[in-house]
Amino acid sequence: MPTLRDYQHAVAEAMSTGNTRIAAVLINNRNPPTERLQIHRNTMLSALTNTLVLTFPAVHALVGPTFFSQTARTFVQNKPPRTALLSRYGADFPDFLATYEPVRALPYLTEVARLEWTVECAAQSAHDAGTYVNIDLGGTFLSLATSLALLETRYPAEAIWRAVLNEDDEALGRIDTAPSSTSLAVWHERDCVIVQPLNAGPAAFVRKLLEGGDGEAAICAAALADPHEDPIPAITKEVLMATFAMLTPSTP
Amino acid sequence: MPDRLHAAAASIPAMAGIGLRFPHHRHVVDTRPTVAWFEVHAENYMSGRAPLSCLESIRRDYSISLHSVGLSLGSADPPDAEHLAKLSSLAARVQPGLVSDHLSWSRVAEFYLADLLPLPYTEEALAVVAENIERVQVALGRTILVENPSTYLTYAASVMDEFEFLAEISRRTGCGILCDINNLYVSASNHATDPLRYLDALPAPSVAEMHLAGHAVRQLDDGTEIRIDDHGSTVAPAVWDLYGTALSRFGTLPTLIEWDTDIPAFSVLESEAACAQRMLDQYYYVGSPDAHAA
Repeated sequence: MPTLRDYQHAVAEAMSTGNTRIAAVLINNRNPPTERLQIHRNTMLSALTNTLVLTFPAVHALVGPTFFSQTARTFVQNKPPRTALLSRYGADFPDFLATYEPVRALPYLTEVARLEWTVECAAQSAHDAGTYVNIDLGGTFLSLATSLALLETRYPAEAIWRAVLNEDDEALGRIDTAPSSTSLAVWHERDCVIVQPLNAGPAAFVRKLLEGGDGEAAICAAALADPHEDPIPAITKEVLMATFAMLTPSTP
Repeated sequence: MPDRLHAAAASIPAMAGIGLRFPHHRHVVDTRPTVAWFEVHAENYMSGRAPLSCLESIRRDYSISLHSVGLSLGSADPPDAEHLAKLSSLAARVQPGLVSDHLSWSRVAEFYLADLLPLPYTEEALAVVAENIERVQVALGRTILVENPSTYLTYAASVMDEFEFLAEISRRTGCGILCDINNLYVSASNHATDPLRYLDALPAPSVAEMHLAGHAVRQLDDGTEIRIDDHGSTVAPAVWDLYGTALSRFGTLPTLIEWDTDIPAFSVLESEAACAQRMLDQYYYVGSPDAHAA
């Protein structure tokens, strides 16, 4: 006599692979099993595909809905969700795209997906909006938004992402999709997520701080990243004046 | 209705409410439409795109019911501890009038299958589901409602009908029943069973809420007509009829209009809720034995 666990493993096998051989034995003979199991499978695939469309709208627009659905189905089979909180689903999608043969001709697609996942993570930190991580710079505190992430991209992902979401085909057509390194600050502010490119010095400064370094180490990192420029003006302009950062006196 | 259920349902009026989804958040926040109460999917606020502050803003003016789709009450394993903790935390913040989930399972081992899957109605499943509901009710510190699912298949091993299973679950755990009239109609059509017998068999005092939604109809390869619970259209006439029967069986109860696929303008949901409210009013003033006595 199969146990409840046996039933659930058999149906899960049918749901994830489409192989209904074992589940069909357990289903009432009056119900032709394959198509009825397929209803549940379609619901699952549709729900997860919709989740991925919401998280990766630019990737969806770049490849089109039909190709995206096929890609999503392959991804779901390879990386099924591990939580009912579906807004967390898709963390592995960029890495999946990096090895997915049918999109090999679009190397920037993975980078756009990484940006969209970073944006999603920042959006999910909504509950923490307005809270900051405090870093003692010796004399003043630099507070960074807890949602702040620094993303390094190897292609012009931000320009592509912005053009696609703005439905600006002209701008999209002007983008040189050759490899190019960019650092992007991504953070949540009020009801939206902001994506801002940073130059090498300020990016190194932020990266060091996010790694847990102190202010002195962060300034050193900025100087090393761009030895031809004084790091302080760029840090002041791109970091200290950005809305993800706030300077406060260390003593009242 | 058992006393504990009565207390839990107190802040949800026996009126027509609307399932609130993301596309209508801004409209509701900005215009505060006249709606008796809202029900939301709990998981959307447990780490999602919608700010919890938005829900809290709506909660200030409306009664809220939390409807979970992720507890997987029918899984052979206990409910996911992290998920349950997040739901508890959300319930503590929102103070919902009702909390509910489904008589189904979605999780096996460490995987989540993103659908509400049917159970074999066996003694073993009965014990498992009862234990899982108890765990949830202890964690939340309140009773929950359990909703009858839409089903497309049944299992050879089932030894009882779904209504017997649901009634026994309610008896063992004290949980209430969320009677989804559309699900009931869809399942009865798909399995050629009698929905009126189902309604008659449910313990009326335990039924604390009803759901209404639209469904789709399609044909399987062998020509069998099957109804799919897609929440993508207006409530079908046959489901309204069954709702009328349910009102005469259970009395006036909080009744929700759900719409999840191709979500229309908010006014369409208001119109559906108005239909449900007319039936609630009609029953209250005309159909209720109490009304006659008065």
